[in-house]
Amino acid sequence: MSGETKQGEGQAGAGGKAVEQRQPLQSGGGTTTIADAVVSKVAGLAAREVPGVHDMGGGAARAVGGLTSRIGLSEARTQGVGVEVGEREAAVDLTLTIDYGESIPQVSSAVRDNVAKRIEGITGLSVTEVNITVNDLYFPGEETEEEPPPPPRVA
Amino acid sequence: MPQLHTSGPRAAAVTPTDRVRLAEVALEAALKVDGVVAPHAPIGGGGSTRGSGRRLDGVSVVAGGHERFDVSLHLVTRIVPLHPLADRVRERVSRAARRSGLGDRLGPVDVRIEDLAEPPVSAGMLEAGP
Repeated sequence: MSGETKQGEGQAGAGGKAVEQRQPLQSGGGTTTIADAVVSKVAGLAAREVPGVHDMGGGAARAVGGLTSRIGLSEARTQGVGVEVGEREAAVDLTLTIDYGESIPQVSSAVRDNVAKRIEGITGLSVTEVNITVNDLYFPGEETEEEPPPPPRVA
Repeated sequence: MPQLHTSGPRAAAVTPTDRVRLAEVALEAALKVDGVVAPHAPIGGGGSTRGSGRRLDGVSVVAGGHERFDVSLHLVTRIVPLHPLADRVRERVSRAARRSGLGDRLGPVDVRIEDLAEPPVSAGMLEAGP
Protein backbone atom coordinates (compact mmCIF):
# COMPACT_ATOMS: atom_id res chain seq x y z
CA MET A 1 0.00 0.00 0.00
CA SER A 2 1.19 3.50 -0.67
CA GLY A 3 -0.21 6.94 -0.30
CA GLU A 4 0.63 10.56 0.04
CA THR A 5 -0.18 13.27 2.51
CA LYS A 6 -0.92 16.77 1.36
CA GLN A 7 -1.18 19.64 3.74
CA GLY A 8 -3.11 22.82 3.27
CA GLU A 9 -4.70 21.84 -0.01
CA GLY A 10 -8.20 21.34 -1.12
CA GLN A 11 -11.40 22.66 0.25
CA ALA A 12 -14.30 20.36 -0.17
CA GLY A 13 -12.06 17.37 -0.77
CA ALA A 14 -13.56 14.34 -2.32
CA GLY A 15 -16.74 15.04 -0.45
CA GLY A 16 -17.84 11.46 -0.43
CA LYS A 17 -18.12 11.21 -4.21
CA ALA A 18 -17.74 7.54 -4.73
CA VAL A 19 -17.31 6.21 -8.22
CA GLU A 20 -20.26 3.90 -8.62
CA GLN A 21 -18.31 0.88 -9.66
CA ARG A 22 -19.02 -2.43 -8.10
CA GLN A 23 -16.75 -5.29 -7.54
CA PRO A 24 -18.28 -8.71 -7.88
CA LEU A 25 -16.29 -11.57 -6.50
CA GLN A 26 -17.25 -14.98 -7.73
CA SER A 27 -17.84 -17.69 -5.22
CA GLY A 28 -19.71 -20.95 -5.30
CA GLY A 29 -23.29 -20.43 -6.42
CA GLY A 30 -23.23 -16.69 -6.99
CA THR A 31 -21.32 -13.47 -6.70
CA THR A 32 -20.75 -11.09 -3.83
CA THR A 33 -20.89 -7.40 -4.66
CA ILE A 34 -19.97 -4.60 -2.30
CA ALA A 35 -21.28 -1.16 -3.17
CA ASP A 36 -18.85 1.75 -3.23
CA ALA A 37 -20.88 3.44 -0.53
CA VAL A 38 -19.96 0.58 1.77
CA VAL A 39 -16.24 1.04 1.15
CA SER A 40 -16.60 4.79 1.69
CA LYS A 41 -18.39 4.28 4.95
CA VAL A 42 -15.79 1.85 6.27
CA ALA A 43 -13.02 4.27 5.30
CA GLY A 44 -14.73 7.19 7.00
CA LEU A 45 -15.41 5.31 10.19
CA ALA A 46 -11.89 3.89 10.30
CA ALA A 47 -10.33 7.32 9.87
CA ARG A 48 -12.45 8.79 12.64
CA GLU A 49 -11.30 6.06 15.00
CA VAL A 50 -7.77 7.44 14.99
CA PRO A 51 -6.94 9.82 17.86
CA GLY A 52 -6.02 13.23 16.53
CA VAL A 53 -8.57 13.21 13.72
CA HIS A 54 -11.06 15.89 14.63
CA ASP A 55 -13.32 15.91 11.60
CA MET A 56 -13.44 15.06 7.95
CA GLY A 57 -14.16 17.01 4.80
CA GLY A 58 -13.27 20.52 3.77
CA GLY A 59 -14.67 23.54 5.52
CA ALA A 60 -17.49 23.95 3.03
CA ALA A 61 -18.22 20.24 3.02
CA ARG A 62 -18.34 20.19 6.82
CA ALA A 63 -20.68 23.15 6.96
CA VAL A 64 -22.99 21.83 4.29
CA GLY A 65 -22.66 18.26 5.55
CA GLY A 66 -23.52 19.28 9.07
CA LEU A 67 -26.63 21.00 7.87
CA THR A 68 -27.79 18.28 5.50
CA SER A 69 -27.07 15.47 7.93
CA ARG A 70 -29.19 17.18 10.56
CA ILE A 71 -32.13 17.10 8.20
CA GLY A 72 -31.34 13.60 7.04
CA LEU A 73 -30.20 14.36 3.51
CA SER A 74 -26.61 13.21 3.63
CA GLU A 75 -24.38 10.63 5.13
CA ALA A 76 -21.89 12.24 7.50
CA ARG A 77 -19.79 9.06 7.64
CA THR A 78 -18.69 9.46 4.03
CA GLN A 79 -17.94 13.17 4.24
CA GLY A 80 -14.39 13.81 3.14
CA VAL A 81 -14.04 10.35 1.64
CA GLY A 82 -13.55 9.44 -1.99
CA VAL A 83 -12.98 5.91 -3.19
CA GLU A 84 -12.15 4.20 -6.41
CA VAL A 85 -12.90 0.54 -6.33
CA GLY A 86 -11.81 -2.13 -8.75
CA GLU A 87 -12.47 -5.82 -8.78
CA ARG A 88 -10.02 -6.61 -6.03
CA GLU A 89 -8.42 -3.32 -5.04
CA ALA A 90 -9.47 0.02 -3.69
CA ALA A 91 -7.85 3.46 -3.54
CA VAL A 92 -8.98 5.97 -0.96
CA ASP A 93 -8.75 9.77 -0.77
CA LEU A 94 -9.40 11.40 2.57
CA THR A 95 -9.69 15.03 3.64
CA LEU A 96 -9.03 15.54 7.33
CA THR A 97 -9.04 18.15 10.05
CA ILE A 98 -6.41 17.34 12.66
CA ASP A 99 -6.34 18.45 16.29
CA TYR A 100 -3.80 21.23 16.79
CA GLY A 101 -0.63 19.91 18.44
CA GLU A 102 -0.80 16.43 16.99
CA SER A 103 1.92 15.26 14.66
CA ILE A 104 0.38 15.33 11.22
CA PRO A 105 2.75 12.67 9.84
CA GLN A 106 2.01 10.34 12.74
CA VAL A 107 -1.74 10.83 12.59
CA SER A 108 -1.69 10.44 8.81
CA SER A 109 0.29 7.24 9.07
CA ALA A 110 -2.07 5.86 11.70
CA VAL A 111 -5.08 6.78 9.57
CA ARG A 112 -3.53 5.13 6.53
CA ASP A 113 -2.85 1.92 8.45
CA ASN A 114 -6.26 1.78 10.10
CA VAL A 115 -8.21 2.51 6.93
CA ALA A 116 -6.33 -0.16 5.00
CA LYS A 117 -6.76 -2.67 7.82
CA ARG A 118 -10.49 -2.08 8.14
CA ILE A 119 -11.22 -2.13 4.42
CA GLU A 120 -9.19 -5.27 3.88
CA GLY A 121 -10.70 -6.98 6.90
CA ILE A 122 -14.32 -6.08 6.20
CA THR A 123 -14.58 -6.04 2.43
CA GLY A 124 -11.69 -8.28 1.39
CA LEU A 125 -10.42 -5.60 -0.99
CA SER A 126 -6.73 -4.85 -1.08
CA VAL A 127 -6.00 -1.17 -0.48
CA THR A 128 -3.43 0.17 -2.90
CA GLU A 129 -3.21 3.72 -1.60
CA VAL A 130 -4.68 6.06 0.95
CA ASN A 131 -4.12 9.67 -0.03
CA ILE A 132 -4.64 12.15 2.77
CA THR A 133 -5.20 15.88 2.53
CA VAL A 134 -5.00 17.74 5.81
CA ASN A 135 -6.85 20.92 5.09
CA ASP A 136 -7.43 22.36 8.53
CA LEU A 137 -6.39 22.26 12.16
CA TYR A 138 -8.78 22.26 15.03
CA PHE A 139 -8.16 24.50 18.02
CA PRO A 140 -10.13 23.74 21.19
CA GLY A 141 -12.83 26.29 21.83
CA GLU A 142 -13.00 27.16 18.17
CA GLU A 143 -16.46 25.84 17.60
CA THR A 144 -19.20 28.39 17.31
CA GLU A 145 -21.50 27.86 20.21
CA GLU A 146 -25.14 28.41 19.65
CA GLU A 147 -26.50 31.54 21.22
CA PRO A 148 -28.40 30.88 24.42
CA PRO A 149 -32.12 31.43 24.17
CA PRO A 150 -33.31 34.83 25.34
CA PRO A 151 -34.48 34.97 28.94
CA PRO A 152 -38.21 34.71 29.45
CA ARG A 153 -39.93 38.02 29.48
CA VAL A 154 -42.42 36.95 32.10
CA ALA A 155 -41.93 35.22 35.40
CA MET B 1 -46.78 -17.46 2.03
CA PRO B 2 -48.69 -18.95 -0.91
CA GLN B 3 -49.37 -22.66 -1.06
CA LEU B 4 -47.17 -24.85 -3.20
CA HIS B 5 -49.01 -26.12 -6.28
CA THR B 6 -47.84 -29.66 -6.85
CA SER B 7 -50.58 -31.12 -8.98
CA GLY B 8 -53.82 -30.39 -10.77
CA PRO B 9 -54.61 -28.06 -13.63
CA ARG B 10 -52.68 -25.14 -12.18
CA ALA B 11 -49.47 -27.12 -11.85
CA ALA B 12 -48.43 -26.26 -15.40
CA ALA B 13 -48.71 -22.56 -14.69
CA VAL B 14 -46.83 -22.33 -11.41
CA THR B 15 -43.68 -20.67 -12.75
CA PRO B 16 -44.64 -17.13 -11.68
CA THR B 17 -45.73 -18.43 -8.31
CA ASP B 18 -42.50 -20.30 -7.85
CA ARG B 19 -40.63 -17.12 -8.68
CA VAL B 20 -42.48 -15.15 -6.03
CA ARG B 21 -42.24 -17.95 -3.51
CA LEU B 22 -38.53 -18.19 -4.12
CA ALA B 23 -38.22 -14.46 -3.53
CA GLU B 24 -40.08 -14.75 -0.24
CA VAL B 25 -38.12 -17.77 0.92
CA ALA B 26 -34.77 -16.25 -0.05
CA LEU B 27 -35.41 -12.90 1.59
CA GLU B 28 -36.78 -14.46 4.76
CA ALA B 29 -33.76 -16.75 5.01
CA ALA B 30 -31.28 -13.95 4.34
CA LEU B 31 -32.77 -11.73 7.03
CA LYS B 32 -32.30 -14.49 9.60
CA VAL B 33 -28.54 -14.52 9.10
CA ASP B 34 -26.71 -12.84 11.95
CA GLY B 35 -25.17 -9.68 10.54
CA VAL B 36 -27.90 -8.91 8.04
CA VAL B 37 -29.89 -5.91 9.21
CA ALA B 38 -32.49 -5.20 6.55
CA PRO B 39 -33.32 -5.46 2.88
CA HIS B 40 -32.11 -2.49 0.89
CA ALA B 41 -34.98 -0.45 -0.52
CA PRO B 42 -34.17 0.02 -4.17
CA ILE B 43 -34.23 3.31 -6.02
CA GLY B 44 -36.21 3.09 -9.22
CA GLY B 45 -37.66 -0.37 -8.80
CA GLY B 46 -34.57 -2.52 -9.36
CA GLY B 47 -33.88 -5.06 -6.67
CA SER B 48 -37.47 -5.83 -5.85
CA THR B 49 -40.01 -8.46 -6.76
CA ARG B 50 -43.66 -7.89 -7.35
CA GLY B 51 -46.12 -10.65 -6.71
CA SER B 52 -48.84 -11.86 -4.40
CA GLY B 53 -50.26 -8.37 -4.48
CA ARG B 54 -47.25 -6.73 -2.89
CA ARG B 55 -43.70 -5.73 -3.53
CA LEU B 56 -40.75 -7.41 -1.88
CA ASP B 57 -37.85 -4.99 -1.56
CA GLY B 58 -34.32 -6.31 -1.46
CA VAL B 59 -34.73 -9.35 -3.66
CA SER B 60 -35.11 -9.87 -7.36
CA VAL B 61 -35.72 -13.23 -8.96
CA VAL B 62 -35.39 -13.78 -12.68
CA ALA B 63 -35.71 -16.93 -14.75
CA GLY B 64 -32.21 -17.98 -15.60
CA GLY B 65 -32.65 -20.98 -17.83
CA HIS B 66 -32.72 -24.70 -17.11
CA GLU B 67 -35.93 -24.05 -15.15
CA ARG B 68 -33.97 -22.28 -12.46
CA PHE B 69 -34.20 -18.75 -11.17
CA ASP B 70 -31.33 -16.35 -10.55
CA VAL B 71 -31.71 -14.66 -7.19
CA SER B 72 -30.18 -11.29 -6.29
CA LEU B 73 -30.34 -10.13 -2.71
CA HIS B 74 -29.73 -6.46 -1.87
CA LEU B 75 -28.89 -6.11 1.77
CA VAL B 76 -27.95 -3.70 4.51
CA THR B 77 -25.61 -5.36 6.96
CA ARG B 78 -23.69 -4.71 10.12
CA ILE B 79 -19.99 -3.95 9.93
CA VAL B 80 -18.60 -7.45 9.80
CA PRO B 81 -16.38 -9.31 7.32
CA LEU B 82 -18.64 -9.21 4.28
CA HIS B 83 -17.55 -12.13 2.13
CA PRO B 84 -18.03 -14.74 4.86
CA LEU B 85 -21.37 -13.12 5.62
CA ALA B 86 -22.41 -13.40 1.96
CA ASP B 87 -21.43 -17.04 1.95
CA ARG B 88 -23.57 -17.67 5.03
CA VAL B 89 -26.48 -15.95 3.30
CA ARG B 90 -26.09 -18.19 0.26
CA GLU B 91 -25.96 -21.32 2.40
CA ARG B 92 -29.04 -20.31 4.35
CA VAL B 93 -31.00 -19.46 1.22
CA SER B 94 -30.04 -22.76 -0.34
CA ARG B 95 -31.19 -24.69 2.74
CA ALA B 96 -34.44 -22.76 2.95
CA ALA B 97 -35.18 -23.34 -0.72
CA ARG B 98 -34.63 -27.06 -0.31
CA ARG B 99 -36.89 -27.17 2.73
CA SER B 100 -39.59 -25.35 0.78
CA GLY B 101 -39.41 -27.76 -2.11
CA LEU B 102 -37.76 -25.17 -4.33
CA GLY B 103 -34.23 -26.49 -4.25
CA ASP B 104 -34.39 -27.60 -7.87
CA ARG B 105 -35.57 -24.14 -8.94
CA LEU B 106 -32.81 -22.19 -7.23
CA GLY B 107 -30.01 -20.92 -9.44
CA PRO B 108 -27.09 -18.70 -8.45
CA VAL B 109 -27.63 -16.41 -5.48
CA ASP B 110 -25.92 -13.05 -5.90
CA VAL B 111 -25.47 -11.07 -2.71
CA ARG B 112 -25.08 -7.31 -2.99
CA ILE B 113 -24.04 -5.43 0.12
CA GLU B 114 -25.60 -2.07 -0.57
CA ASP B 115 -25.06 -0.28 2.72
CA LEU B 116 -23.85 -0.65 6.27
CA ALA B 117 -25.83 0.05 9.39
CA GLU B 118 -23.23 1.56 11.62
CA PRO B 119 -23.28 2.60 15.25
CA PRO B 120 -22.90 6.26 16.20
CA VAL B 121 -19.33 7.45 15.68
CA SER B 122 -18.98 8.47 19.31
CA ALA B 123 -19.72 4.94 20.46
CA GLY B 124 -16.60 3.61 18.75
CA MET B 125 -17.10 1.46 15.71
CA LEU B 126 -14.75 -1.37 16.24
CA GLU B 127 -12.99 -3.00 19.06
CA ALA B 128 -9.37 -2.13 18.30
CA GLY B 129 -7.80 1.16 17.37
CA PRO B 130 -4.49 1.53 15.56
